[in-house]
Amino acid sequence: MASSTSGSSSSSKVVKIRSSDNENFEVEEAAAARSETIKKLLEDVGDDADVIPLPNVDAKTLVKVMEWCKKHMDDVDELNKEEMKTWDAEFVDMDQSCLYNVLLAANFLNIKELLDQLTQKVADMIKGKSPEEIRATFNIKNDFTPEEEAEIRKQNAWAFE
Amino acid sequence: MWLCEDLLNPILDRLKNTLDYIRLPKRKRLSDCATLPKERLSDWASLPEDLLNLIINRFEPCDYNRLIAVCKSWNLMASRLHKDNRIRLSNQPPWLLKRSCHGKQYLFNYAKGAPISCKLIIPDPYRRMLLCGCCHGRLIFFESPQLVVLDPLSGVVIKLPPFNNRFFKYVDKVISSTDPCLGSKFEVLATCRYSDVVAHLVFGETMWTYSERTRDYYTYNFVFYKNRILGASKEGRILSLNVINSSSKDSSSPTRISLEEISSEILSEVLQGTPNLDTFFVANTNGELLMVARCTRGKYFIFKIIINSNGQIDLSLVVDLGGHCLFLGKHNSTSVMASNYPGYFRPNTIYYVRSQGLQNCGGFEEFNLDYQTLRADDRCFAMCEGSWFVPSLKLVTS
Repeated sequence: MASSTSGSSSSSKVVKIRSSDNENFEVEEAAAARSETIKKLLEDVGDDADVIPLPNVDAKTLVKVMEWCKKHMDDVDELNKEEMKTWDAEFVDMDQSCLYNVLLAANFLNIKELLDQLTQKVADMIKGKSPEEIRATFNIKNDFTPEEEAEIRKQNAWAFE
Repeated sequence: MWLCEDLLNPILDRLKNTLDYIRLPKRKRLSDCATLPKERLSDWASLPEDLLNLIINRFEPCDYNRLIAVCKSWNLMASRLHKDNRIRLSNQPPWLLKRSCHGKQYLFNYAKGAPISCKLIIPDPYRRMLLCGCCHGRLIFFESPQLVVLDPLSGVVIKLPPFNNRFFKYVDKVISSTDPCLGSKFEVLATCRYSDVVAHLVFGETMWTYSERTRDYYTYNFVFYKNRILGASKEGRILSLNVINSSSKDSSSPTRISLEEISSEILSEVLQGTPNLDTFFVANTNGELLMVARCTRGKYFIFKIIINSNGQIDLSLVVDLGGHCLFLGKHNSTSVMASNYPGYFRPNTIYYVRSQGLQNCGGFEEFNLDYQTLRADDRCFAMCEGSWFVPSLKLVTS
């Protein structure tokens, strides 16, 4: 199995988690414990845990989140910091639908650092954009009546320049 | 390897390393999970409030103002989340913009003698600058070569077109006809420090119009009043400033500014021989325009300015403010009925604040016209920006 080549992790403990669509995953405990939610659950159930169900996260999203957890499992030394930054930047560069799911998952799983990165990404996607562009970016429907929209624009006219 | 052969989905392409350790159950293939139909559709409009707040906290206020216009649910959430930073504005007495000993500006409730717990959002470069305008609840700074209008309650910044006149390297004072942040048409008038040249701008124009330099070199303090622009000089002269628009047909005559002095017997009679006046324009709650001339400490003359139906301007001396109190400051002067603030403000009283400037410290005077009594306090106001601040914030509600 490929995992045997990845050195230090070969001896670490593995936990089982289950996605909302009933996919089972085996994840190293050190990676899964990046999630405060999973960590807490593990503490609660102890060693005899069978599978930890995560009813709010679908399989595709869980794969993505665990990819991040795996990468951030160990403390990063100075040398790798730059490399890690690049990796993180690439990681959050996903389409809006995927981003939405990962953001909700990071929130539910309570992974603070990932949440920071994702909210920053969303903020960056909003920054400097007009309301129309924001709607297009995130596929949001404009549910204001023309009158309401005119009023908001009037009150905050300069934000739209 | 069973892992690699189905990696078709480009999104999962980068997962190769991860797949070392995420061991999928053998009967499942990765491609199945990549195309799972159960994936939740993104619905950004119904993003949980705590997440939206995390995102908002990473914003500039300007982005925040765009955010509220995206959709109803974001508007509602953002308005609710930021309500605490905003203030109820009903029936506020004028506030005073002061500077702490650390150089930080804050608002001070003069009536209550206490600072106002309202966070001013003044971005860093402006924090250290002297104000060159304070009107309609906005602060105006000069960031060469252009003026910056700041709403200190939201942090929203408007940049006006740059000056291209050598005298406007040193801007003295800027006024605007209406609140620039409302988006409706407004005019801006700027005076400079070392010349009598005046600059005028109409919202939407990209070029300022400058007045000619006059030979008599009087500098004026201007006011927008009932579609007119009036000025008063340190010598007690009053003039009317007219902006003559270029006709669209004739491009050879550009927009220009004409200045017309208003002769007034009463003015020259009263103010004769007092050359270094501080002049202020202030409209009272009845909409009447007053021109106040401060000669020295505790010596004030008040004139009412009347614009006749034919456009002629008349002045009359005023000795009773009719229950009003006047708040005078370089950038902004205002007036309230003292009876609306019993115990705080006295009727027929002038509250004058002197701006901290390049050469002078700030200062404060309270002068009662009825009893001719004066109370001065220079120490507490030495670092004062000297601006009476009447907030004009529109709360966003849906």
